[in-house]
Amino acid sequence: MGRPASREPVLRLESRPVTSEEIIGPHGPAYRTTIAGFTAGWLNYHTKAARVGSRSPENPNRPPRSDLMAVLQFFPPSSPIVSARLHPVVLFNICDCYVRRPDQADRVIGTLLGSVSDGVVEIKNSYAVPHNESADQVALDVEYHRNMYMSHLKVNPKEVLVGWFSTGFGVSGGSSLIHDFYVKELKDSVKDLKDAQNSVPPLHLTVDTGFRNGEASIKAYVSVNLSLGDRPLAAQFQEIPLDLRMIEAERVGFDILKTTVVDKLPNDLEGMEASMERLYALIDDIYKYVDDVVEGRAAPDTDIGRFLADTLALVPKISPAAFDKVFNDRIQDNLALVYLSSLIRAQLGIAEKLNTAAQIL
Amino acid sequence: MIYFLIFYKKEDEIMHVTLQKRDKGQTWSSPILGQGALDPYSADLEQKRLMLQRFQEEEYAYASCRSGYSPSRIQVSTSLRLNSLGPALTQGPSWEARAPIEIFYFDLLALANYSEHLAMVRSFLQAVSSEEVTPPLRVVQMEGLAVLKIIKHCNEFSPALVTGQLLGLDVGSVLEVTNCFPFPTREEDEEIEADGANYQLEMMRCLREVNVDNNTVGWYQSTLLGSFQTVELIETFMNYQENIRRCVCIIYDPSRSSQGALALKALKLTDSFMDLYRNNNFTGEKLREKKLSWVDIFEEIPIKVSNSALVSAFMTELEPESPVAQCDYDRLKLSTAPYVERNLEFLIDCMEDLSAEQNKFQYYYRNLSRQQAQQQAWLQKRRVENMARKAAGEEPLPEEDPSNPIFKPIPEPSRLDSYLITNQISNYCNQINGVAGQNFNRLYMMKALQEN
Repeated sequence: MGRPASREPVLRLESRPVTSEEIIGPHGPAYRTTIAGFTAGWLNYHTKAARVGSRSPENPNRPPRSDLMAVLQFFPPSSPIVSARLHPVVLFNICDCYVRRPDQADRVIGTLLGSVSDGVVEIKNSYAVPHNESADQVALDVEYHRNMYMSHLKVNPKEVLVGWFSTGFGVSGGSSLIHDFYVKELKDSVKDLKDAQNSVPPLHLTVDTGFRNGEASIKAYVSVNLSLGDRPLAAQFQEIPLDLRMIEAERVGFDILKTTVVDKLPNDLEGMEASMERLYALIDDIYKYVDDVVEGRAAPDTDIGRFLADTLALVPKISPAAFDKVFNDRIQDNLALVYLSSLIRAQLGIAEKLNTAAQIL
Repeated sequence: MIYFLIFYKKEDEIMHVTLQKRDKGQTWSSPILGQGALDPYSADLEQKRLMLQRFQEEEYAYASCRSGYSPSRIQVSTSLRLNSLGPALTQGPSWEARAPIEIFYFDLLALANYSEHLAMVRSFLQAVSSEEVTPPLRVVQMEGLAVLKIIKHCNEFSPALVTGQLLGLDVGSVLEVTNCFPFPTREEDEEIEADGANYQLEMMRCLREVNVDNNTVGWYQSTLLGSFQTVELIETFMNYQENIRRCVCIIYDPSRSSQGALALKALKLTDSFMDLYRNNNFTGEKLREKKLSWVDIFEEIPIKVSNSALVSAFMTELEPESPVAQCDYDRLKLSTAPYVERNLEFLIDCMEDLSAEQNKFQYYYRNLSRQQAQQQAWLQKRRVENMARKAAGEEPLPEEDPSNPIFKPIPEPSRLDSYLITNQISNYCNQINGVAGQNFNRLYMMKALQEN
């Protein structure tokens, strides 16, 4: 796999301080820790890109300096995670945990649960894990994590460990330590479950609760190990695309989830009214757009035009008489339903009156 | 803080000072500003205590002016003992004492002593204090997180019915539900049941560790087409009610949420129903006495949803731009037939149950009237017999004979079942009505679209 190490001279590296810097990986920015003092020039990606012969995208133009080469190897994940899907309940939980974090803590971390299929990780559930962090060490409540994990498995055995989350922007120093822990945990849990399908590396989710660059940045990373020869050197966090699964949130309605206080849940008819108003507004917009195009005020767009034509073609062609019949039948059905339910209610009322009358006897 | 000095005396190097606050019934967080404030919980307790005292005094004044009884002396009660009071008081210009002051007994309120009215007053007090402590529950305020968690749990296991526990705070007339956790699906096995209890404790302990509110405020459960009004629900309610003063049940209906409605309901049992249930008294007479009809079993409490500012910011930022959401599609879907069909099926089942219940009552009443007729006949016979014996100069026989089987009272069947079924039926009727109403809307809209 990759470039054989024997062709190039191997640089002997002294132990130097380790720093972290940001590089641009195939999916956007990635974090890795590199060795200071070493020309961060040529890194051999043992990923798909490297295998088909193309160079690492970070510096395609720089030639390999064969006299100063070290083979740094990234071991790709055993079955690569392509993307992740985040369910809103996880986001809500992370925010809640952050709001309720202990006094001195800068960030909260926790475990992510979900399922994996075809390289897509569905993050469905989460719980916070207490931890302590100082400049050079991280202490994680391992017992807590395991208890919670067992408890969650009892409820839903299909939701397994898929990774961990942390609040804050990007990957920070202690992250690789925590990540190592989760890699081990995942290996153990797979052994427990005897489920070979779940043998994917954990992913790392960061949620920027501080809105550091003015936007809500939520990112998912997978870790790639970097090693020099046989020596493991560092882990690179590679960002993967993250899809926010908002369908559930849509079902509930954004109006309820967006504002801080909602006094009353919308009832059926109010919801219906809102939906109809939205539909009405959309139809109005289309009318306006079409009128504008016809009168030459707006530039015609064939894509939109085709889309509109397709949509109109979807409306079934029924003769007015047939439609009237269908329509009236449905109305009759519904009227019958209303009549039936009113009748039953009247019956209930009468039955109650009779019962109380019978009691007086 | 203003108080009036009532009296002080000095004995054995200890100075006793009794002060009275100008405004009674008002809690001070500390006797002297900035020195040893009370925490909110004790302040609350103190407030309640003062309210009681005030009530006692007023009640006492009322009682004494009625009976002509007058207080012989003011008893001094000590409630706060402060060592650090000296400097603050000695700095005052009118304060003459220079002697070393070691301990002050500081009284917040002087209490009147009453002997004979105490018992009467106490019963009043209990009535007042229980009202004071539990204002009626008006609103259930749910966090968005709890709502989403409930929906996730119920939807994932639908159509199986699942339950879970609600965690939160009880604040005055608002019950806040800030978090929740699911229960594993029930097993009949006893061993696993014990396991479930362990699970619950473990979960509560774990959640407390990450600062989640760990007061149980009730439970949630999913339901199928609103068929939740069962005896089990009431039993669970009573169990919870024994342990926590105030609890609610959140009902979520996954089948209705596919119609684009957020089918969340917060329920509690009404107090009068709980009284009856505790005594297991569901005879017609009792129900009539309490004026309890089937509508009064459950009480629905309005739900408020709140979100933290952080969540709100995230959702505003991340909301997709699309002008239509999933719930709009769901709401405007024309095919509601399966839903209505199942509703009707359930309705028919319920009607059958109800008619069976009605038959039971008819049977009971028929038996009752037959028994009464028999009793009358027997009494008539006995009277005639007695008349004859009287004429013959013999002792009359008693007019009651408990050993006779016709005097054995027939047990009246409980009305609980029929009440619950009635509730259920009315629920189905409401749902059918609602769907039909929405269908009218949809159909007329379709017509308008078709014509255009």
